[in-house]
Amino acid sequence: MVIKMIRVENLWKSYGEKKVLQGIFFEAEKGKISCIIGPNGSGKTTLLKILNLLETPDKGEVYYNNICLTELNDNGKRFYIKKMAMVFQQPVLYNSNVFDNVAIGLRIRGLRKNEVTDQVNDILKTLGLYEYRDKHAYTLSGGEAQRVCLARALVLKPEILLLDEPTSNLDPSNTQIIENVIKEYCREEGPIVILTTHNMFEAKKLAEKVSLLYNGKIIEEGDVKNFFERPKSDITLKFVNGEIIF
Amino acid sequence: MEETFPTIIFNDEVIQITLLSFKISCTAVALATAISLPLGIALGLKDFRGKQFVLSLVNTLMGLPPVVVGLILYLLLSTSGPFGPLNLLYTPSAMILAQLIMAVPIVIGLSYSAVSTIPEKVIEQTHSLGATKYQLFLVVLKEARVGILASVVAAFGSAISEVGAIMIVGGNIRYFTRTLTTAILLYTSMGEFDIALTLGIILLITAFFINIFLTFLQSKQNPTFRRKFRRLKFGD
Ligand SMILES: Nc1ncnc2c1ncn2[C@@H]1O[C@H](COP(=O)(O)OP(=O)(O)OP(=O)(O)O)[C@@H](O)[C@H]1O
Ligand SMILES: [Mg+2]
Repeated sequence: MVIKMIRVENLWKSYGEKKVLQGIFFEAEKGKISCIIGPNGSGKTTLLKILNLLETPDKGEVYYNNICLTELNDNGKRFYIKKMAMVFQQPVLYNSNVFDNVAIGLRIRGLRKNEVTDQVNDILKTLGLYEYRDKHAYTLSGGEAQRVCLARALVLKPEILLLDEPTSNLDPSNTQIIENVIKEYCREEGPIVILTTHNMFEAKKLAEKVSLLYNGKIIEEGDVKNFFERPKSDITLKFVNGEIIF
Repeated sequence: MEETFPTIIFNDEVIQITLLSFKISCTAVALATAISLPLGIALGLKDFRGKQFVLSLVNTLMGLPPVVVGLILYLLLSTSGPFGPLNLLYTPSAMILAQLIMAVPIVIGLSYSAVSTIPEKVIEQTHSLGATKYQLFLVVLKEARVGILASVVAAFGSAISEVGAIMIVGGNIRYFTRTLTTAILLYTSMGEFDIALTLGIILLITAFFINIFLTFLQSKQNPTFRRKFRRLKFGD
């Protein structure tokens, strides 16, 4: 049996003169939380957007279950985009209430009204947002907004969940809620989860596999225990010892 | 003869003129919206070479002098002009056409600015949800609904109060192409102030309601402003 996984091969991406990704090889497996850790500007967001097929790499390919996604046409890409869901670093809110903000992905998929209502209500309850369902999204706090964005992604039951620093800027209680929901979702649905962070503790708490992205390259990669306890490269060691603080 | 201050009169002609004005301007703006909205939204979403030029052109056309539009349209529609055989000159259709020409750039320009205030990340999120082009269009329409509606209302406001172009191509024929503005012009010059003033007041009230509606739309733009607006209305 083929193990479900997403994989990138020799990915290069520049913005103008700035080389952001310089030959990335990376893969993430189903049922595991993979964590990409790296300092500001190291290219984490860029990598996730390429995985989500929102950005095209200058060179290199993205494969999902051995299908090359980057060479598909728009319709083909959209088919696979619909199997993924990404939570962006900065919360994105639509000019409507919480319910509509969470329902939009299901509506794009053409679900019937009562199905949308049921599924959205469920996820709102899971994330402690049910009482806010008629509140305008622009009046939410930062933590509430981030939870709405996670709800919008999870309600789609994606095969691939991409989370761009889902808990940065959040207080411990919001962080706790979000981390628990991510773990729970992973246990129940067994998706591919790729999460970026610059927080070592979050990586330790959530991830099973950790990759260190530094200057556009994956410096080191391994299961969480080895990564933190027996780092191979100097940079990882410095990072784990707290000498480079991200 | 004794000088008296003009009085407001209501007769069949006033009603007929008012209804005709609304009919012409509503039709023109409805058609203009159907043409312009997709263009304004596409302009707001797409980057292409020459975009700056197109935007400057739209801005210029937004300030198109009505009499010039009237003149050009007259030349095109008159018997010797290329569209002469259509026999449109001095008909309500010609007036609709004139107002349509002036409304198109207004709706394009204002709906473009409404769309360009939507943050890039909202567009990106919508792509990330797997939206087709058409679904993205609907999302954008919904996100910018207030600004887009405002663009349509503004176009209507300028259409209903425009006089130069419809005077030239409509000919101000009684019970046929005479509208609020052209009637005011004529009756004032004829010294028939009662009817001129009545029509003027109708036009003013229309403008007033349009502006109230625009202010209301602005207050809907974001919830914090709405609170301020409510306080303004019902406060001390
Ligand atoms: N659209 C863009 N245009 C130009 N430069 C960009 C663009 N997107 C990203 N960059 C640049 O690419 C580099 C990597 O950005 P990216 O957002 O991927 O980093 P990151 O690892 O997510 O950082 P952070 O931890 O701050 O979120 C940065 O130097 C950024 O300025
Ligand atoms: Mg980032």
